[in-house]
Amino acid sequence: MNGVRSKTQIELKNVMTPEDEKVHDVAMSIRSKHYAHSINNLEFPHVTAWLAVGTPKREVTSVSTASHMVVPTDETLLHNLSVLAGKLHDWAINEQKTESKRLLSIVKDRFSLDELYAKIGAASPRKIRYSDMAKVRK
Amino acid sequence: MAAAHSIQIALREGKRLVDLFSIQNDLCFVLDAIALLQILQSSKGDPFTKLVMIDSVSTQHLFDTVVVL
Repeated sequence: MNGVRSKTQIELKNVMTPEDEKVHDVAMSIRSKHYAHSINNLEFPHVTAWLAVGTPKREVTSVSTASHMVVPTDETLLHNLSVLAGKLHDWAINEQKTESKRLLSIVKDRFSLDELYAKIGAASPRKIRYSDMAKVRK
Repeated sequence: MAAAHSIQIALREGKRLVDLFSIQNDLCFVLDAIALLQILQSSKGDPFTKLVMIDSVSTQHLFDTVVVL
């Protein structure tokens, strides 16, 4: 049931108009240039060393780190992104309703009521091995 | 009132519904994050403090989520 949601991703893209895609592209550009693959000195993490002064012993007392973002999100982008996300959210809700109905009809077609009712209390709980959790999926 | 029993059914067709729930969750995160950023941007305060606050509400996570949509 898990894995890449590639088909749904394509559907999501089809819901977007050319204007929506422009908003998405701007957000992606900001993300790629300033957050994911920043290329200037301001956007690298800075390590600061704190030195003792005014005491006989010279030493490093502590270190701290900080990252500086030079491009905060502007109001227009946030508004446009919010409208786009709201539109896609409505689409996802509607698709869920449609998909739930489709799934219900599949269950009704594939199983008789006798088969379904016979399953009540018949299945043993799925065993979970916690030792599997750290394994990498192949 | 009649009781309802849940049973597990072997069906592979449920993946799309799971994907849709996953997308909805991402979109909820985006909408919440944007609402928070808008509040912070409209609030009074010196630019430096606001910049630090905006950074602290995970702007990066917002953009990372946009990528997966």
